[in-house]
Amino acid sequence: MIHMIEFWAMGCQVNVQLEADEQGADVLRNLPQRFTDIEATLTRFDTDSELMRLNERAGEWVKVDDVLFANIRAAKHTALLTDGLYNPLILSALVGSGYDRSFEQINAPAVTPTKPTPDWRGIEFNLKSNEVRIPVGAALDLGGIAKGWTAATIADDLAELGACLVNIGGDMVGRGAPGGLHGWPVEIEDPFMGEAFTTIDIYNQAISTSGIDYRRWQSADGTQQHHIIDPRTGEPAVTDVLSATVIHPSATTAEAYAKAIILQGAEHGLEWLNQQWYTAGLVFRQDGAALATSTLIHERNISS
Amino acid sequence: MANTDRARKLLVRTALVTSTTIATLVGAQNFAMLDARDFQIDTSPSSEPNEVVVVTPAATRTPVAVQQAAPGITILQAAPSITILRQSGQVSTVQPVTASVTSIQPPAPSQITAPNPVIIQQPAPQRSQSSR
Repeated sequence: MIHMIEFWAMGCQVNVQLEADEQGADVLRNLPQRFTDIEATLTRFDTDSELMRLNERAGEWVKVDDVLFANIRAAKHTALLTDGLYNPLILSALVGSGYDRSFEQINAPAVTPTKPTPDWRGIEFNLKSNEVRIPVGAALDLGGIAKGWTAATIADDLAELGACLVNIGGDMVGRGAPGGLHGWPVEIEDPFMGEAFTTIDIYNQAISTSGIDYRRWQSADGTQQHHIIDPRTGEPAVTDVLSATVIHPSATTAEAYAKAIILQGAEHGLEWLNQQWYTAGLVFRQDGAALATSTLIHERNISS
Repeated sequence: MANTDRARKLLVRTALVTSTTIATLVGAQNFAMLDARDFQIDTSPSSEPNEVVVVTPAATRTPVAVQQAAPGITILQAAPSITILRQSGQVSTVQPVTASVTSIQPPAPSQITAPNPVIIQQPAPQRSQSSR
């Protein structure tokens, strides 16, 4: 049997499905509290969170707990994989663009100029003592990386009981396959039509969609803002991509790759993705075109 | 008389052979001394620059037999490319559907109850979209 639970966490709708016997229900019942605990550590909207306490002490070595330590390591690793196109040190730019509170509370904020995004290579770790040091003047935003890490961590734990799918606001991790299927069915949304563009099976993989079709707002001066910050300019990305979907074994890598495509533009971004290992992608351009890597077409039996 | 001549000749011949042998031995000893002096190492400092012998890589290169060519790589598939699934202009791009949605509001605190798992017969398809 498949157990399913839905709840609100990390600013998103969460859906978790687990194929298991009766004890599966008890395990799922405990998940909301686990999400709450993780969110309390990683949120940037609470000045008392461990993340924000670290940000306040930029330039110092700070001992952090395992969850925050693992997330910052994942963030730096994906920054390396994308050569800095994903940069976790964009918090100042994000706040400067007006995204200084939970998204649903944003209301025509003032936009303030931002300084260049600090170099992600300046994030340092002491593996023995669980200490982290971020550059002076820098501040971390773990955003999508935190969702990807959480989805993967929960999915890995649930996988001991059976096949599972963890969906946090549209970013998912699937482990195993429910009975009789090749994987967990996941629809990729067409942002123009608001309906499924295609359906693929996720088997021991993650899928992440990022875009400027959502979480965007109008600032006090009337300019359109969105949450995809270009670390090279410190401002919302200028791109021809409306949304980008990436499939990859790692949830945090899929998340970072999707943002990297948006920053590079549709064609260049997909060509770049073609050079990466074990991945596939689908992009909707703002002019309505839909493009995909050939790996997605061939391996997923999607008709072009 | 004849015996006297014979003895004299013998004496002369013996003297010649002896002197020749002595001369040969002395000469050989001189040559040996000359050779020994040439092989002595002069350890005294010299103002002349030392001669440096440059050994080129070619001189030290050891010929290696090529056992095998580079590992063979079989191309199973052409280089990945980009496929256009939908051309631009085939949909209205004036306003993407989801962009018109300002936000999905979180549930009000009064509406929050402890969520309970439900049992479903088939996986509920999920939708990958911009985080919301």
